[in-house]
Amino acid sequence: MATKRIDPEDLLPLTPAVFHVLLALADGERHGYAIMQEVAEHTAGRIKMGPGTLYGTIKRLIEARLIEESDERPDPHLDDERRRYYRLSGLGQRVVQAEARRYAEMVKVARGKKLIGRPAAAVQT
Amino acid sequence: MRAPVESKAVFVSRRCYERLLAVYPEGHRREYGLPMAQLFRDQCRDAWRESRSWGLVTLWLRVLPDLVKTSVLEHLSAMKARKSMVEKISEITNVNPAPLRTFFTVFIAVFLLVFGTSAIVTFLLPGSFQSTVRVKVERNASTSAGQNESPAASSGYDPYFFQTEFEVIRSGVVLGNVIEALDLNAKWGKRYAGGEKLKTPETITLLKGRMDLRAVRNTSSNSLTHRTKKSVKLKSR
Repeated sequence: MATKRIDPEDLLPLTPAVFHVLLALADGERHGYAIMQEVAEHTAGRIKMGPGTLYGTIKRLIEARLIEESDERPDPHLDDERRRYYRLSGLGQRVVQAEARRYAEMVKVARGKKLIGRPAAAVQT
Repeated sequence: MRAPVESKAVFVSRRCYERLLAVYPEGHRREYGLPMAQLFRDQCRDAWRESRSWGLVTLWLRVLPDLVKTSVLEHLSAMKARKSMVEKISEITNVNPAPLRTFFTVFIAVFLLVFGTSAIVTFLLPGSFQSTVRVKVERNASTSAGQNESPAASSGYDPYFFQTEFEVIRSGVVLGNVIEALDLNAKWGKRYAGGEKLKTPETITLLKGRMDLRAVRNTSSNSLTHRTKKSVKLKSR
C-alpha cells in the first residue's frame, strides 16, 4: 500500500521541544546528549531538556517519521559507551524548513512593527 | 577514550535515577531506559564538574518534575495505544466503528442517568413504613333471620358481607375511636398542620387515605394495611 505523501505544512506549528530537536539534527546526526547540549547552547542555557522530555520527544518524532535512528556507536569525544544516533528524515527536513520559514515571516512582521531591531549587518549601509 | 572517573555522588544519583525509571511504562522503559540513564549520567557529570553537590541538587530539582510529568504522559499514551473494545468488535465484524461507538456511548449515558436518578431519588425520599393486620371476620350467629337482611343473607351466604364490613371499618365511628385512642388529632396536627390540632373529620380523611382494606382470597379474613412515615400501632375493632 502506497503511503500518502504528508504535506509539511499540515504538521505546523511545531511545539518548542520538537522544533529544537529537529533544529539540533539539521546539520548532522547526533546522539541524545549532543542534542540536549545543542538545545541548551541555542537557547543560551534557558532550555535544558530532561531525559524524559528529550526521549519522549524523540519517540514521537520517530513515530511521526520526522527522524530516524541511524546507528549505535561510541562518541569519541565522550567515552567508550555505545550511544544511539538520530538523524532527520526527508520529511523531517522539509518540516523543520517549513517551520523555520514560518518563524522568519513572523520576525519580518515584528521588525516591520518595530518590535525588534534589525541585525547589525543589515543596519550598516 | 576511557570513561571519566565517577564521583560517589554521581554514582549514587545515577543509581537512584535508574531505579526511578520503573515509573515509566514497560515498553517505553525497554526501548529508551538505557539512553535515558546514559543522558542523566552525562548531565550529572556536567553538574558535578560545574558546581559539585549544589549542581547535582539543581539537576535533581529539574529532573524530578520532568520524570513525573513525562511518566504520566507515557502511561496515557500507552493506554490510548491499546485497542478499545469497540475497535476490536469492528475488526471482527468488519463494521464501521463510529456507529458502534455512538451506540455504546448513548447506552452507557442512559444507563448512568437512569441509575443515578433512581439512586438519588431513593436516598432523598423520606422513609416509609407499612403495617398489615389480618382480621378474621365471621357473621354474627345471633343475628335473627329476616330482619333487614337480603334473601341471600338469610340463606347463610351474603355476597355483600365483606363490603359491608369494610364500610363499617372505614366509618367515622370506628375510625373516630382509633383517632381518640391514639390521639392522632394532636400527633398529626404537629406533623402536618404546624402544631395546630386537627379536627376529627380532617384526621379521618388522612387516615382513610393511608388505609388499604382487602379481602384475603379463599378465606374469611380481611387484611388492613396502613402506610405511614412512622410506625403506628393499629388496633382492631
